[in-house]
Amino acid sequence: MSLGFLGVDAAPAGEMRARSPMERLAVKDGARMSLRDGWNVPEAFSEPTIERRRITQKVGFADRSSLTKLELQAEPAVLARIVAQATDQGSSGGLALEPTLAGRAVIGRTPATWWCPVTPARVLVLCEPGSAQAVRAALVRAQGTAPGTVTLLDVTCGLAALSLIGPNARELLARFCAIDVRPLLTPPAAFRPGSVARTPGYVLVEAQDRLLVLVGWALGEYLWRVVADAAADLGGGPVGAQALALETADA
Amino acid sequence: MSRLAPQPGERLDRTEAIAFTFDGKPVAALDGDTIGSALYAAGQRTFSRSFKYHRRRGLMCCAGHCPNCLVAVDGAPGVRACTEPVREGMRVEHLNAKPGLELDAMAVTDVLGGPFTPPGFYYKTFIRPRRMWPVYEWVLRHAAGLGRLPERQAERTWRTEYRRRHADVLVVGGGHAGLSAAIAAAEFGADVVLADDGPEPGGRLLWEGGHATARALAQRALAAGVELIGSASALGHFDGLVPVWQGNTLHQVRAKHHVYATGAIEQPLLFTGNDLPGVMLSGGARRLVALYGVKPGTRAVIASTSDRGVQAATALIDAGVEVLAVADLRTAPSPLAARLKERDVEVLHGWTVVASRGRQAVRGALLGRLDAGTADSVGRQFECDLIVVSGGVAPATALIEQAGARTEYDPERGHFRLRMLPPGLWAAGEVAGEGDEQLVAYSGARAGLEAAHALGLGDDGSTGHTAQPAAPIVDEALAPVLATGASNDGKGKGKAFTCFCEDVTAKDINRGVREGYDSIELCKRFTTVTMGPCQGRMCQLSSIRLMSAATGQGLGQIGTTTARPPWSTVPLGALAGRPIEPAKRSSIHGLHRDLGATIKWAGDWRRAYDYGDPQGEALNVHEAAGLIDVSTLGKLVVRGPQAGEFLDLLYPNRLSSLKPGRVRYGVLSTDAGRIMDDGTVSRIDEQTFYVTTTSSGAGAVEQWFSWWLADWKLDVHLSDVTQTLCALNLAGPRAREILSRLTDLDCSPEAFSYLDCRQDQVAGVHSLLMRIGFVGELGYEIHFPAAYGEDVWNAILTAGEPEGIRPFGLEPQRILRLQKQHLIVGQDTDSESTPFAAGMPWAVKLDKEEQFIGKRALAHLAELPAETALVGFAVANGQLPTEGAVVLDQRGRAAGQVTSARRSRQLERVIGMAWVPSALASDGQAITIADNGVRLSASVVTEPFHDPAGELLRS
Repeated sequence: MSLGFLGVDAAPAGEMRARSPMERLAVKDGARMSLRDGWNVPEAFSEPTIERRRITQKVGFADRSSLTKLELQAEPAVLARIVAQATDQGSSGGLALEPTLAGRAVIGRTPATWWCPVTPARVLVLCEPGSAQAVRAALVRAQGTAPGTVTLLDVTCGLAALSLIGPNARELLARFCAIDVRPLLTPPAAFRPGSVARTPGYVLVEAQDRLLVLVGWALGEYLWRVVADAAADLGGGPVGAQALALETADA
Repeated sequence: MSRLAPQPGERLDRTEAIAFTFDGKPVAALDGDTIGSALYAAGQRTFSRSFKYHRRRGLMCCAGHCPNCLVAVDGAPGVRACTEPVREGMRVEHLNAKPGLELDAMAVTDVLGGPFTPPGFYYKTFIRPRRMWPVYEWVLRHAAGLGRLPERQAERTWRTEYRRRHADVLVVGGGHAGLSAAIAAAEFGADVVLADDGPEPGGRLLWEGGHATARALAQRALAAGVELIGSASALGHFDGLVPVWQGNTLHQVRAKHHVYATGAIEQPLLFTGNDLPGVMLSGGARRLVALYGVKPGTRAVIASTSDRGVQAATALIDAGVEVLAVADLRTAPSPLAARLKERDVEVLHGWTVVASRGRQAVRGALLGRLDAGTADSVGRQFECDLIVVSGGVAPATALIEQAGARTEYDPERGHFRLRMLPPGLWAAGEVAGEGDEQLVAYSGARAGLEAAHALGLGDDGSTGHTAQPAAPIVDEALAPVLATGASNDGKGKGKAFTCFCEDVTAKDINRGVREGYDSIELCKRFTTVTMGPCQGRMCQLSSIRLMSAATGQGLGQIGTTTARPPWSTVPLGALAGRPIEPAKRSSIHGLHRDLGATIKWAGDWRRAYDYGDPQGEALNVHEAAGLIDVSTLGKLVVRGPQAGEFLDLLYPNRLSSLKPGRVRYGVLSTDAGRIMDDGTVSRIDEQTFYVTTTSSGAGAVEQWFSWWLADWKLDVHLSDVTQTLCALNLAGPRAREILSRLTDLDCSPEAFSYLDCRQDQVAGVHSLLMRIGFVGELGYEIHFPAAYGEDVWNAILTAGEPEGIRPFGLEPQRILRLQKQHLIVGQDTDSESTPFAAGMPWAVKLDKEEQFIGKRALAHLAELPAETALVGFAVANGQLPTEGAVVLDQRGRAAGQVTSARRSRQLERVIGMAWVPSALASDGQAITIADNGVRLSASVVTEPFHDPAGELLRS
C-alpha cells in the first residue's frame, strides 16, 4: 500500500472533478467555472477588462487552491540536497535550500515551483497542477538517492490558497493578518508561516504586488469570506483564472 | 452669531457652508468647523446635561479632553462636539435630558439630590426592602447613562475596518515634539507612523500663532515618508501593540520603538459652579478664536495659576473680548503678567475665582484672595459671560505609563512627571516636562534620532543633527503652580466639580476619605472619579490634591491611579472584530446545507446535526444504509523506520505488531493514566501508519505526538492530514452492496473483513477504506482527497438510492453509538476517567514489555478497585434525563452522573450512559437519577443495547 489516497489525480476516472473549498462562494459571487487539469476553477467573474483593471489598479483575489502542494520531510542537510537536486533537474540553476531557512522560498524555474521552508526539516513545494507529475517524479528520483528517511506527501487538499494581486495586495493582507509584509522585509520569495485571519497559515510573496495566502482546507470558505469582506473596503474583488493568466504573463 | 473676521491659520473654508441640525433645529456651519464651534458660533451654550445631576454642560476644553460637550450624532451617543467635524445633514442631539434640553425633569436632582445622593448612594439607599432591588435597579439604570443606543440592532450596526501596521517607530502625538521626532527618525530611513488625535498635526502651534511652522513640519514629515494618521486616538499600549482608533478604522500598530509626545493637559480650577456653560479652559477659548474664528464671549474674567491665563487674556483682547480682570494665583507678577497692565487689564495677584454666577450660563464671577489655601469669602464680583480658567497642566502620561514608564510628584511644578522610561521608549515635549517651543522641538528631534540610532540607522556623527538650543529657556508655561490649586475645599456651598464625567464634587472626595476610602485607588472605586470618558484627564490631579488636603498626606504619597486602557473613548463594537467566525467546514458542507441539514457548532467545525429526522435517519442505518460525513476526525500520518516503536510508546496497546492492511482501536492515555483520546491506527506499510483521532481531540493529539517526538528524537515523520482528507462512513446492512457498485475491490466478508483497511478507487477516486464501525452496523470508512468530497458523496448516495440509503447527521450517529455503548471521549469521560473505570481494560496491555505513556500509573490503577464505573442504563418510565443529571447512591447521595442519554426508536426506550458507583455497575442494578427536581428510576445495562455480540459489525 502507499499514501496515494492523499493525492489529487490530474485525471480521475469518470466525472469526478476536484473542487476548491471556495467554489460555492465563488459561484455565488458570479464565477463562471471551467475544468483545468482536473480542477473546477473560476474562469472569470466579470468582464476580463474589469478584472484586469482590478488587479492593476486596486486589488483582486483569486482562488489558487488547485495548486499542487507537496510536503517533503527529511533531515535539514538531506532536504537541502534533495531540493538542490530536484531544482537542478527541472530548472536552470541548482538552487540550494540554505537561504530558505531565513524565511525565503526557493524558486524553481522549469516547471515553475516554489520550495517553501516550513521548518528546517520540512518544505512545502507548490506548483501548478499541470506540472505536478513532473515535479513529483523529480522528487521521487531525488528521494531515491537521498540517505535517511525522506517522506513525500501530497497535501494539496490540506491547504486552501488565495492569491492577493494588485497594488493594494499588502494593504489587503494587513486587514486580516498581523504578519509583517512591508516590502523591505518581505521582498518577492519571502515565506512566512504564522497566524492568518486568526488561523494557522502561510504567506508567500509571489511578486511585489502578489501574495499567496494558505490556510487549512476546511477554512477555505472562511478565508474567502474574510478576504472578500476586507477587499470590499479597498475597492477589490474576486478575479478568475483568465485575469490571473494575463497578470502572470505580464509578470 | 459670534463669528470673528478670518483669523490667521484658521481651519475654516468660509466659502463652503454646511448645514446640520441640533435637536431638530437647523444650524449653519462652515467647512472646517467642529460641531462645537458651529453650535457656539450660533449662540448655543448648553450642549447636553450631566451624568448625575443633569447640570447644563457646554464647551470647555475644545480639545476632546473633557466630557462636557458630549452629544449624539446620527443616533450614536458619546461624540465629543468639540472635535467632531461637521458634515452636511448630520443629525446632532443633546444627551441626558428629558423631555428637552432646556426643560429637563431630572434636573431636580441637582436641587434636591445633593445631600441624598452621595457616592454609592444606590448601594446604601436602595437596599431595603431587598425584594425591591430589581425595581430600584431598573429605575437607576434607566436614569443613568450618557445617551441611549438605538433600539434596533440594524441601527446600531456599523462597519469597522481593522488594519495591522508594522513600523520601525510609532510616534504618538502630532504636536511640535511629535512631528520633530517623526521627521528625525524618518529622515534617517526609519519607517515611521505618527498618530495624532487632531484633524491636522501641529498641536499647540496651530492655535498659538505657529500654524505656518506646524504645516511646514507636517509637509516635511510627509516628504520624509512618515505615515500621518490624523483624528486618531491611541487607545493603549499592549506589550508594544498600540491600537489607534480613527473614524471607522482600528489601526493595530506594532512598532519596534515608540516615541510618546502626548503633550500636557490643561487643568480646570475647583470653584463653585466650575461646570457652568461659559466656564472655559484657556486653551479652549484660544482654540475657538484661532482655529474656528469664534468669539467665546464679550466680557471675560480670567483665573489662572500660570502664564497660560495671561497669554489667553492677550489673545482674547486681540479677538475683541473685553477682559475685566485676571486673577493670577501667583503672588509675584510674571513679566508677561506685568505687560497686561499696559493693556489696561486689572491683574489681581494671589487671587482666584471662587464661584461662577448664572443659571443657564455664566453671568458673573466672584473672585477672592487666596489666603493659606482657602478663598476669602469677601471678594469682588464681575458681570461677565465668560470665565477663562487655567489650573496649570498635567503631563499626559497615561499611555506611556501603560508602556511601563513611572511617574513621581514634582512639588516644584505641582504635577506628576516621568521619572523612568523602559528601553525602546522615548518621551518628548510637554509630556517629558518641556514647555518652551524650542525645547519641545529639540526633545522631539532628539527622541526621533535616538529611536533611529536604536534601529541601527545614522551614525555617531548624526547626533549633531539636532542641535540643542544654546541656552536653556525658562519654562514659563510650566512655572511652579500652587500645589493646592483649589479655591474650594469642598466645605462651602454649591457644587465644585472635580470630576465632570461622573459629577463627583469636592465634597464627595472628602466624604469618601471620611468613610475610609483614603487611598486614591479606593477613592476611585468608591466615587468613580477618573472612571468616566475623560479617563482622569480633568480630574486625576484635582482629586489627588483634594485627597492630600483631606488626609494630610503629600501628593507624592497619595500617588496616581493605575493607567489603564482605553485612554480614549472607543465604541465597544470597534474592539469586537469583523463578525466572521473562523469556522472549519468539511468539503461537503455545502451539500449538507442543500439537503436541509441542521448545522451546529461541533468544536471549531460546523457540522450537520441532522437532516430533519434524526430518529428516522438512525433507524434507516439499521434497516438499509446511511451515509455520514466524518471528515472532522483527526488524521495523522506517522512514517519512518521507528514509527511502530513511536506508537508503542504512545499507546497502552501494541501497535508495532499490527500487520499492513489491518486496523486497531487505540486509547491514548496521559502520563497519569487518564483517557486522553481514542481512535484507530491503520498500518499502511511497514513504515507507515495512519492514525485517526476524535474530532475535538485532533489538535491536541497532533501536539501530543509532536511534543513526544521532539523529546524522543525517533526517526519518524509526522504529518497532520486532518483537513487533507474527506472521510465518509457508509453503514448499514446494505452498505456492502452499495460500495461494491462503486469500486472494483472485493468487498466480500472474506476478502475485506472487519478491521481490514484497503486502498482502491471509490467512484473513480483513490481512497483508503477501513472496515470499522462506530454505529453498530456493517460499515466502511472511506477516506479520500477533500477536493472530491461533493462528487464522491453524491456518487455514493446515487449508488445507494435503490437500497434506500439516506444521509444521517451527528445526532442520529450519537443515538446509534449509544445503542452500542461506544463512548465519546470528552462527552462520557473527563480528565479523571481511566480506561479501567470506563470499561475498557482490554485497551491496556500492561504485559507489554516496552514502556509507554502512563504505564506506571495504569499499572497502579489496575490494582485499585475503581470507585465508579461507566455503564449503560435504561430508564423505566421512558423519561429522558438531562445529560449531567446526578446519579444517586442507595443513601440518596450524589455518586455519579449521566453523561449521555437519548431516546431510541429502534429500541423503543430511553437509554444512556452514566458514571455510577462500582457497587451498582452490574446488569440489572437499579439506579436513581435526580434531574432538576425529578427522580427517575433506571436499571444498569453493561452490554451494548444493540447487537451485543457484534455480529452485525463483523458480518
